[in-house]
Amino acid sequence: MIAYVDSSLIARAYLEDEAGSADARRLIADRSIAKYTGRWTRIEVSGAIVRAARAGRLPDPARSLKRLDAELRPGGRIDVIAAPDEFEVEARALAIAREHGLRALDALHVALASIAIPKLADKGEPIGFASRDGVQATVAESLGFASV
Amino acid sequence: MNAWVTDLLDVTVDADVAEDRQARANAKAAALGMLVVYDDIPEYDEETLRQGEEELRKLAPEILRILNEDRSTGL
Repeated sequence: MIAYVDSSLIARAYLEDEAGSADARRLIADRSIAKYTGRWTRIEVSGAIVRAARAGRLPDPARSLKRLDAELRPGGRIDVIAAPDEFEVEARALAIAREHGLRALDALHVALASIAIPKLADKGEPIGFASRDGVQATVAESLGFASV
Repeated sequence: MNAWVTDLLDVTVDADVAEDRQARANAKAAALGMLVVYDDIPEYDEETLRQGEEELRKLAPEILRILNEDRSTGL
């Protein structure tokens, strides 16, 4: 399987006091699934880590940020992709936002996944979308992604 | 376990597996101009590398010897 991993799942993996954190870490560590995410993820998850630290939920944010960077570097467990045509992603995200009412970044993630992941999948290979946002996951499912 | 050693063992395990799905998809993503590589993320800091060599010397000295030989031959 090849899957797009939304920032909500990656953030969950770092916030160990949240429900489903261990499941998120297991999914990220699963080497049988090729995993991709978008460029916005590094910014979103960094913000979530810093906010959690300020709220006293993370003891060592610098370490978490370092781990996140290591996760997203080449050879890490999640690779980062961008569509060659950013306007195509924007147009798809706009359509998704208008049809389903998703928030901007949620719509951008689904749009990028729907454009990029089918191009990377082998013929007949299942494509997945990993998110901890129920509405976003439902929209991804409506576009042919299995929920992982 | 040290990050460098963990990655090294992961790669070794992956090489034993039938195929590395991520690497194959990455090749396709790179060919399509979709793979993003951050140039501000260092692969490993010096301290991690130093500690990794120490750990590996205890775990598998033969692997460390082979790695050092590869480095000396420029492979």
